[in-house]
Amino acid sequence: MSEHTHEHHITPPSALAINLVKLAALMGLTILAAEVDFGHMIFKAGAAGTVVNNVVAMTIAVVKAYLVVQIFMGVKWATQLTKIWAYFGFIWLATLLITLGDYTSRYWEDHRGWYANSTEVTAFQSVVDQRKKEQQEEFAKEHEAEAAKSGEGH
Amino acid sequence: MSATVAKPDQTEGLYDPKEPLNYINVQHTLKSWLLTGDHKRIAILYLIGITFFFFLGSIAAAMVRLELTSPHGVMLENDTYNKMFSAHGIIMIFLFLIPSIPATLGNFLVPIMIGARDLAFPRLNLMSWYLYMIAGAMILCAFFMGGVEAGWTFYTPYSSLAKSQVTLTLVGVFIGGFSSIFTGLNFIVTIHKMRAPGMGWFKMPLFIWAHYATSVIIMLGTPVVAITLLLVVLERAFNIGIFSPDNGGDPVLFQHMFWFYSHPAVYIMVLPGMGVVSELIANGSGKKIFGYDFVAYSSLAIAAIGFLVWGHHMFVAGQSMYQGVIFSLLSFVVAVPSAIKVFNWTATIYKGQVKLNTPMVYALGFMGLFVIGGLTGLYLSSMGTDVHLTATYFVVAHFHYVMVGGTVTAFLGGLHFWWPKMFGRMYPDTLGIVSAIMVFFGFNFTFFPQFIVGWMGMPRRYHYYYFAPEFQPYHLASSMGASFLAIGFALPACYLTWSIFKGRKVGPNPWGAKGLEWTTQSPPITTNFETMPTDIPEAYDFDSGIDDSEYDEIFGKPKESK
Amino acid sequence: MSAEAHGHANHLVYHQYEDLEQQRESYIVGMWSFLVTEIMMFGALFLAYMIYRMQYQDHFYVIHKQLDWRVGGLNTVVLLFSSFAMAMAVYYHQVKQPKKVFNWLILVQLCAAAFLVIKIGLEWIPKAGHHLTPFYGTFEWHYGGGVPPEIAKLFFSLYFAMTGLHGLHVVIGMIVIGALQWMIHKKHPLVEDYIPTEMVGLYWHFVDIVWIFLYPLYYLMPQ
Repeated sequence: MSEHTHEHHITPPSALAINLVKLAALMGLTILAAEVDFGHMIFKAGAAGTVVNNVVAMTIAVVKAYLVVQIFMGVKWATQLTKIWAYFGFIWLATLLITLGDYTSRYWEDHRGWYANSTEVTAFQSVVDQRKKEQQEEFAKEHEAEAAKSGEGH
Repeated sequence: MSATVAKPDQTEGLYDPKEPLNYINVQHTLKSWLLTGDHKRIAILYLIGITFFFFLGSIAAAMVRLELTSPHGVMLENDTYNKMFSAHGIIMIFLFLIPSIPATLGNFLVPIMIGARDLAFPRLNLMSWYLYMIAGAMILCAFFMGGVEAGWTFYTPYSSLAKSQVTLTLVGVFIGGFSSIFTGLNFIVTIHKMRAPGMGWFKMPLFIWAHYATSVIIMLGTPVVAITLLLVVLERAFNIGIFSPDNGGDPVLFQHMFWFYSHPAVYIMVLPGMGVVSELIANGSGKKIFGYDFVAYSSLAIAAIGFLVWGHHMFVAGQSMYQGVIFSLLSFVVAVPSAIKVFNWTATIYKGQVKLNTPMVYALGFMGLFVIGGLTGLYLSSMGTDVHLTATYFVVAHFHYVMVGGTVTAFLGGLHFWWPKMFGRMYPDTLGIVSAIMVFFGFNFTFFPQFIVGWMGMPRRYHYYYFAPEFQPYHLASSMGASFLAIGFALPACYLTWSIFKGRKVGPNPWGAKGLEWTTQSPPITTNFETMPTDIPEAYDFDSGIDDSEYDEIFGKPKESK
Repeated sequence: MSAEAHGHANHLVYHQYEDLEQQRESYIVGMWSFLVTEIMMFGALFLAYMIYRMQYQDHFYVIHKQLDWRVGGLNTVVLLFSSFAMAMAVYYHQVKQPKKVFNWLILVQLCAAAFLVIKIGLEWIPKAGHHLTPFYGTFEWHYGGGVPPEIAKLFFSLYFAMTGLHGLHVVIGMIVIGALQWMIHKKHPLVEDYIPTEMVGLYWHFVDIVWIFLYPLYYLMPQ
């Protein structure tokens, strides 16, 4: 078992330097892309700009990360097992995105309790206020009665 | 009668010079234990640690149960009561249940079962134990410095505003998370890279499959809760409010991120238990497990689907109804692989040669309790019923059936099964069966009434129930059952400790079980095997007819063969 | 723990492994497994960022102008270069030239230090002066744009939590690289094989990857 089945790959400095140049270029591209309103360019309207610009910026970032993982971290030449673990984490991040489903669909439901000015809420609020008022009056009366009692006691 | 004939048992003792060298007697100094790299020694260190914390958590549980015997409370202040149930939850979950099976039985057995000399990273393994102890010490400090009343879930905004020792506890839990990450990382690399030649994936015991799935969950889930709790610490210590509504933050996001880990954490607790029970059932029935592939894949399926169901903790927390429907559906789906396992265990017992010894009694108890725990989980995963049952004792009973009835029963069963392997000595089996039955009945007495009282509307975490004195009989029954349960837990602690010193010595394979761990000596030597095992048989290879066990010598021959 | 006692053919191999190749891959897979936990950890923070950004995109756009994209860009260049230097150090360890490994690691250390100086000196400390630090002094928002102060506070909470955690990773990286350099300097048997350098390198590249995502998300926000 002491024989090596294959020699470990050694990435030459030239490949590393080329990768650095690529990464720097992509960084410049990100900065340039941030200046352009893609939404306006493509859809002739500003509304979708944020989305498109974000997609562009994140795509460039993913490409940069991919270059770092593949070349600098050497996953390109790594064993199958290393590749699986290296990309598994990034892929599994997608499960976290399920949370976004909650935040986007939370207001689809016609749940009037969430709208502060809906009529039902106002009606409910008035009942609550009324009840509170009554309780306060009751409490004040009791308090008075108790105060009178303790006064008598002394 | 000459004095030269010494009785054999007079020479028996822990430090017998004639005893063959093993991992326990190879070195005796305290330093050799505290700086060890041997996975077996670290497992023993972990066993001592988790037993200690289990004891502490049980005391907190006893206080809670005592308090609930009367509708008006017995002795605790409101705040003290909150601190008691928080202490019970935090200690039992983070310091007992999560490390229980993986860190003790797993640490001990994973390398032996796959034919390795040690885990891949022994020093990391030792560091994991130290982190665990530091975490435990910090959490204990927090309790002695005034305690925590935020519950084990640390929901914001209460946890970020509470005046108690939440920060210290959270830092402790954070460090404890790293401890379990290192254990999981070690298992993953070991199972991938350290298997003996010829030990294919489908020759591995199901215990290993379960631990692999558990480790994957630990790796993917724990960091999320770590950062979530760290954000609460930042919120408390540095005013960096991400969940705080004052800053436009959303406390529900905390619940999302918390349950993203803490629901899969339930599978971190129960999957190793399932692995243990797979071993116990196959070996106790003397049969190859029914549907090996299904049981193996169902572990991975539980790990994967378990990550997609966390929202069922948040049906009434302001989560979107549409999202809730999806989570509800997925929660039903995750019951399927668990059910596959139970069916396969049952089919394994069918027409098997069942040996009713202590581990098997625990395994049968596990199956009964786990089925009740699992099925009541379905009540809670359907949204409509859950609205009625959220935060009642029904939930408490449900997860205790899974956690105590599942994990703790499996842990005890596994401990009894591998005890002769760990220490080379056998405990009194009759006493073991008695205590296993006590645990089973005591447990049911404790938690079955809670289903009923929960359905009737008793909320969890309440100090008083003077508004409904008719709940008292159920609470009384529950508290009385808890006393039985306590005896059931105390008995093994006594006779197992006794057996380390005085128990009957046994050879490599007292149960007539299959698996690599039964081919090496008991207790094993430091490198586990004299020579690397190469000829690996199929898992649970009972059909081959080879029986190298000494079962009959220890437990007596079956009646019909006399 | 020395492998020599166990009679292996290769003295670099620990007793639990069969051969060097198995040991090397175990270490690399182990490091990657650890990075998976790091990915999930930062992933949760990015999730929080995403959710709040979706809710308050307009406000966040106004607030993000308080961050200077040129400073962030400078830091990106510094980190990218440090990643390259780290890869070079691993290369020289693979071809067994420890002197050059040591020198390239010094370059990595310098880049890391420069990153922290730029980050803290040019960004965090001025922010404290502008009352934009939730953890120091009172938080105030003087820059108008119709931004409610609590949203600005949320933005800066996220900003400091994420860049702070990233900065902490840089500091930890510097400590680990320092330890590695010390061991290389002392010709410690642990660093005879190149795997320790490779592992530290993987960690360092991961720190770089996090910044690759942080930079456009915080400094180059579209309207």
